[in-house]
Amino acid sequence: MMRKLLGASAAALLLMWTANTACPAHAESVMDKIERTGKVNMGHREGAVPFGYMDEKGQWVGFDMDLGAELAKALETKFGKKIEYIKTPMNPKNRIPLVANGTVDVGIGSTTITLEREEAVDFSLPYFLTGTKLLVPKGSPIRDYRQLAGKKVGVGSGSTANIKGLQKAIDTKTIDPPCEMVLFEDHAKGFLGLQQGKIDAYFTDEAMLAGMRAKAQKPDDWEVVAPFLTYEPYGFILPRDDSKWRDFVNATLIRMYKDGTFEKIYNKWFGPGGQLVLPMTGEYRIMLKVLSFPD
Amino acid sequence: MLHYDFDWSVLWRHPYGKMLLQGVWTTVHLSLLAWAIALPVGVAIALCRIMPCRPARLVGGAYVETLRNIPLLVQLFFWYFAVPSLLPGKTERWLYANVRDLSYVLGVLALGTYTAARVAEAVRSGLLAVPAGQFRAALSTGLSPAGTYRHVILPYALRVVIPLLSTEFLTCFKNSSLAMTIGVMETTGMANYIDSFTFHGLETTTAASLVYLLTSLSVIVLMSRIESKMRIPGMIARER
Repeated sequence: MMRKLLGASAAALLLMWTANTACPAHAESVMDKIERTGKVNMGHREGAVPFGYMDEKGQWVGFDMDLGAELAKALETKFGKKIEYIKTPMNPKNRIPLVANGTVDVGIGSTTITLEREEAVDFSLPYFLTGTKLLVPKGSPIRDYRQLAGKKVGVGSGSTANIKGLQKAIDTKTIDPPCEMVLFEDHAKGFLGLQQGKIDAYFTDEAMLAGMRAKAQKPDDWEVVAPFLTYEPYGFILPRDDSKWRDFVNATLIRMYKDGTFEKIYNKWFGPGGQLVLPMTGEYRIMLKVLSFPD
Repeated sequence: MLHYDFDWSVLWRHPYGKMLLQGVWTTVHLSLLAWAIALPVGVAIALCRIMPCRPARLVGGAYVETLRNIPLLVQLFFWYFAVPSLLPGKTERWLYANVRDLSYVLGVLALGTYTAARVAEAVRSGLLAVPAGQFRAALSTGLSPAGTYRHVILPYALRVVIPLLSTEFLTCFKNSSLAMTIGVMETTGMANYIDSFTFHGLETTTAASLVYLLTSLSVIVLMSRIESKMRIPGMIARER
């Protein structure tokens, strides 16, 4: 009886595996689908201030949504008809399946472009440039990565690819003796750990750290320190091998970089009086300039 | 239409293969350690619940009803975020400064105490299944009540509940995956972690499912052997 059971489960697994690996024949481009259905579906974050979050009125807003609205507008101009902009909640756990199975046409939600991830999905041109820093309690002796030696450092386990940067700093003896990495499921829990003293510093993108600090009860009790350890360029997640759609998204971004729309949206969220004051760095400006390809 | 190319090599190529194995190993010792807590505590609580002494019954009942009626996930957060700050004086600071892998230690405690409540209920059902005549017969041979429990009732009850206990062990083994929410890098946690680097989460999740399935199946095979060995003659269990 046991042998039969094992045989049946093996067969079921084999079936699952072959179903998984069955490669679909290439179907219509997302561009054609949008024109046909009159709808574009975009994935956005829900808890990342100010990229995508719920504001005081319970409205789902953010920097990423404003970029999405511009993309929808560009689609309307292109097809000369009303395109419905559907927003789908997206998080680091579901973002790849959502894009891969076609639920969302593009994922706009603070996702770092890495070469390794490029092997699984496609990315747009970068639209945001940040880097990894440290969040510490005000007056902490930690000013730089060297001082992390032997300390406990919190990192987000699901949302960041930048843990490799920290590992490299340990491997190259920049941090010696090595620090202990304490993993947290999300940044909010990591910040709680920092407040409780479980960790001495929290390590992630500066944009995220600034957001965590801004959400704290007393933001002045916390500070973001150290130079960038790694650069983190964010891109839109796009379905693989759909160059028609990718070209359109990139062209829309480039047009926004060139005509000043992008900077206007950036300043709305990150400029003085924005949700999160984070002036555009010189490097970021140069990146946008380099990406401003001629017509 | 799936815009996704499966790349199964993330399961073995450097450094992910090693990470996944580490995750599986963590799952194994995490759930075994939790079980090592759950079994004795569970048996003790079950005995408390059938004792003639009322305070002991109350304590046992309170333990079981509190721990099995709060979701394990909430209990994990409680152990990780609240318990250290409830400790007296400087213990909390000392804990953070000196204990490596605090999330692992607290994960074992959370899973162990939670599973103990479930084990207690399983064992209690076994104790209640022992016919009252057995108890009286044992007493009449001159055994003390404590001796009766130790030499007659408990061995009998534990053998009756072996199938239930193996289910509880499997549940404990699978529940260990929740420890990833407090940062324990067990199989599921590692699968997610590798996903964040490679964006090949479908492969890693499939691998994690297989690990759980295969381990559970081998535990079932082992337990069915033990079950037939430990079967009490005269009960309705039939030869297979």
